[in-house]
Amino acid sequence: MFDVVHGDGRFVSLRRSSRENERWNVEIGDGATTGMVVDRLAVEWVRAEDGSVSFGQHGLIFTLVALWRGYKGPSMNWLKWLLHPPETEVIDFSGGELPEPDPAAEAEYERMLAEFAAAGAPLDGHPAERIQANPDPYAPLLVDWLERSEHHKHWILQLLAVVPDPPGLTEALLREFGRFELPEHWRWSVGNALHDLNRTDLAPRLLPLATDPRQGMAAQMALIALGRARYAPALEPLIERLDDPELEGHAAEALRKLGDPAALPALEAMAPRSEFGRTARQRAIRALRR
Amino acid sequence: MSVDITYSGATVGSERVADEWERIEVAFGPERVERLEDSGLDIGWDDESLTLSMPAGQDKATDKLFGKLADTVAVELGRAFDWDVDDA
Repeated sequence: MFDVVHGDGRFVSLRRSSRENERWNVEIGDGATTGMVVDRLAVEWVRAEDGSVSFGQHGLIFTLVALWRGYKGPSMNWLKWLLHPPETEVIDFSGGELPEPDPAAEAEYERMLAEFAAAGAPLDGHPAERIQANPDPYAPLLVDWLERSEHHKHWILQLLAVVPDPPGLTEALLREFGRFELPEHWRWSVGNALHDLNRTDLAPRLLPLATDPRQGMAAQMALIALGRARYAPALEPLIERLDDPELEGHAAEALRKLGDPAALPALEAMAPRSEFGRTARQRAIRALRR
Repeated sequence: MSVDITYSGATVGSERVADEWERIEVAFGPERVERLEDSGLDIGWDDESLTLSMPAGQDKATDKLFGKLADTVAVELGRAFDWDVDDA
């Protein structure tokens, strides 16, 4: 099943209950039925007249579209999975759970559309495809709006994902990651984006932000980024987070990637409370003993 | 969205699963597993199952590498524990 992390009438951010790291950000269209295809996978959703939305994945038609859009199976397992997908997961939002569009969010959206259009970078239609085809006029505006926006940050971050190396993005993300007044789920997405940049040179600036106690679970992916960067000063802060129920698994993962056997005693003494924490601990101990 | 592949069967205990995964990882190549993890691969297990989870929308080379890992895990866990890929 899915948890609704965020919903404002235009966008719904979903997280699968079983996977703390995975979020799906879905734009709810105006049509009765709409959907999107990402590579081989598909999601579909239906918005009823009463405003309720039902959401499913792996619908047959969308799977066929995914096939048509170029699935080339590298593995029989994937083909098997694709042709016999797991039971469709459906989430039903009652009208109350999915609020009516927020006038402030709508107004901001309109302002954004107008500003982009004036700069010769229209956002209507299929913006991701437009941006991919001609990213230059979009990049500075998207980076600017990432910080200015109060209501559409997730969408802007998604759009930025199709821009190759947008100027100023790294600095904007670091600033956003340090804005502790912003919701935790947004800062988690920012930490994840910083992780995805895979920039080892950012580690000295990431460490104080990721280990600030106000960060909470938003620190998860940034901790892994510190381990992946093999940033030695992160050793002790990561060990300290093995006791944090929200961060224990990510801290253990980070320590495995950091690769310093000095973490072994702490990992051996660790008492994980989550499945992920236990797996990450076992992997880290084995890797550091090699 | 992600592709989740779960291998499961008789209960063997998570330590044995961890041992077997370590063997698979070393044989497959830790650097290749790391490359997949950098693309978002998540590996999890418990006493009676192991799950590989890969975000959708990867490039072809990553897809191919993940497919190879998934096949390797299927063979190795089948051999070690007589586990199979879940149909559900």
